[in-house]
Amino acid sequence: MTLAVHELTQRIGRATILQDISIEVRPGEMLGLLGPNGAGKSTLLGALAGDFKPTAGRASLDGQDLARLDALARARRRAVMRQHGAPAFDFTVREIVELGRSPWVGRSTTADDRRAVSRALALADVERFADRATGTLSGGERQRAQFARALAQLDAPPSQVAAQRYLLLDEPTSSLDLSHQHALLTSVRRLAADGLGVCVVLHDLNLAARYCDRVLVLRQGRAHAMGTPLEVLTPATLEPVYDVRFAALQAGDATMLAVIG
Amino acid sequence: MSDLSIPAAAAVPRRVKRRLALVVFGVALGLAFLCGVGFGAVRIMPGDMLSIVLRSDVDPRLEAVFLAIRLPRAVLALVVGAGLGIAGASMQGLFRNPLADPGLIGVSAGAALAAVTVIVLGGSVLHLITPAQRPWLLPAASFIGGLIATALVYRMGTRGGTTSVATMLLAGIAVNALAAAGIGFLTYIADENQLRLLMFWTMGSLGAASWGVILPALPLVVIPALLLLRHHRALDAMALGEREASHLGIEVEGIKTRIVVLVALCVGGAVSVSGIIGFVGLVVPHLVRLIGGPRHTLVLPGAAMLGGALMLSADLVARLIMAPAEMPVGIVMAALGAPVFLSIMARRHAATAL
Repeated sequence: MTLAVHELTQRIGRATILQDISIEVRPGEMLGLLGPNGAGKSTLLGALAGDFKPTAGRASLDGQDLARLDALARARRRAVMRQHGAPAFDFTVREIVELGRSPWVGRSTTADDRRAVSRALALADVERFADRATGTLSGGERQRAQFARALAQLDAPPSQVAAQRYLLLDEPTSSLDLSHQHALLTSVRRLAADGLGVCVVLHDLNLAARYCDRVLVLRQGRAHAMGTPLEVLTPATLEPVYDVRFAALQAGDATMLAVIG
Repeated sequence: MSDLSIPAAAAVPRRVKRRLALVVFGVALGLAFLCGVGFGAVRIMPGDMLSIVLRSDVDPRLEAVFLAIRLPRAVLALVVGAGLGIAGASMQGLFRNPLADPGLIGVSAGAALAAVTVIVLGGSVLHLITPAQRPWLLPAASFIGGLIATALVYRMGTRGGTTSVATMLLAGIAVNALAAAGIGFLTYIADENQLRLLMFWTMGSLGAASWGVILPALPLVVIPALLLLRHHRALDAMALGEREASHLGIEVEGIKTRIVVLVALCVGGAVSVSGIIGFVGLVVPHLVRLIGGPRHTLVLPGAAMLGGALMLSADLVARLIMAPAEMPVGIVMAALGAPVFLSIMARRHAATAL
């Protein structure tokens, strides 16, 4: 039971975005995707979401070819939160979160939906402005609203809970203040502990070190390093990728990476 | 923005607002319909209408006016207004743009070019068809012209099974310009009588309303409009972005094609019997969103109801203001709708400002 890509190569036009990547997102774990801009992180996340046909190799969900599943079947098994523009019209936060329930139309009751929406609003800490239009919110508040939508989508109705589900996040903390960065990743961590499989694109190496079970470092579309944060997030591994110099600092029982030049 | 800026209107949940809005639109539509069939050179009161419907004793002239003149005209106004409203709402949802208009996919321009072609050059083919077919020539030509233009725009926006709405928008602008050039040329070579005819056609009129002309056109508008209603969930999801909609389980490519086809049929059917009536498709969905929020469970039926009500009112004014002469309804529509729209916008601005 995994969400996986196997020997995946993705070309867009003549550019090779990803080259020969194999990874799997396992139930109960958080897999981090790291790398500089243009390394192929979002494309890899898109491939895991089933957004496009692989140029070579395959993407699969619990052994089934992702390309064979229709959009609805995929939507019932995984939620995606991308880096986001504003919605086209002035929805309230609650309406955005309610949209997360659309894959379950016909499968869940109104009561199920209402419960799922209020749970998601609470978990993403957006209850306070749930009935405000997204146009009046800050970027971070909007990002949390999108997170709530993804959570509402994963809240399967009682008859469907048995299936394994996955959450794909593309820089979910990019607009968040410090405390909400940790709050969001802590919620995700807790969902993973309950069995959710999570793949998350992060830029902050220290957040990745703290919350991810494994990380994949991409460099120009290839897998540069893969393993636990302790194994991978070292100056020796990362310096050639980011082209900066790191120092590993000891703070309490945590190792922090700092850029020193 | 601080919490102080929460508008007072936000206190009413959107779910309640949506329900209220539908009730208000329904009442407005009912009233507009009664006025539309009731007022004119002869006044028909609701009591008389009931007698006519129940076939009890009533002045036969009154009955004739009601059944043969007022009723078909009101039905046509209702259907054209509703069709244009729902088509506009669907276009704005599909293009993720509140400034989109049913005309964007070329359907009105294609219909207008075909209609003007028939008006100016049609004389030379008239001997090829029987006199009984003549009233059909103009509606049929404009309907087909609208579909051809839309097919062209759609083809240009589609590559490898993927339709780009941005490319479609550009192609629509080009097709509109091309049609305008054709119409300009035909206008230039037209004689005075043809000029009058094509002028009135492009300003829109419901004057052609007789059961014979409108009955075949009604299903062309009503059926696509009803089918568009079913796409509310997809259009909601598309508002977040096409990729997001697909993540929510919507088959985006199929939906895009279906909406373009349904809008083309709906608008093509309406335009073929009423000529070009602007404003409804662009502004009515806005009004609905301003009143009850952007969920398409409200916007699609709301735009149909409000579009119908607005068209019935505009036609009433068009018939009465210069009686016994008739103003083109398109002019009235713009003159009536624009101030309403501006006032609602101004009030909303005042409500959301600090």
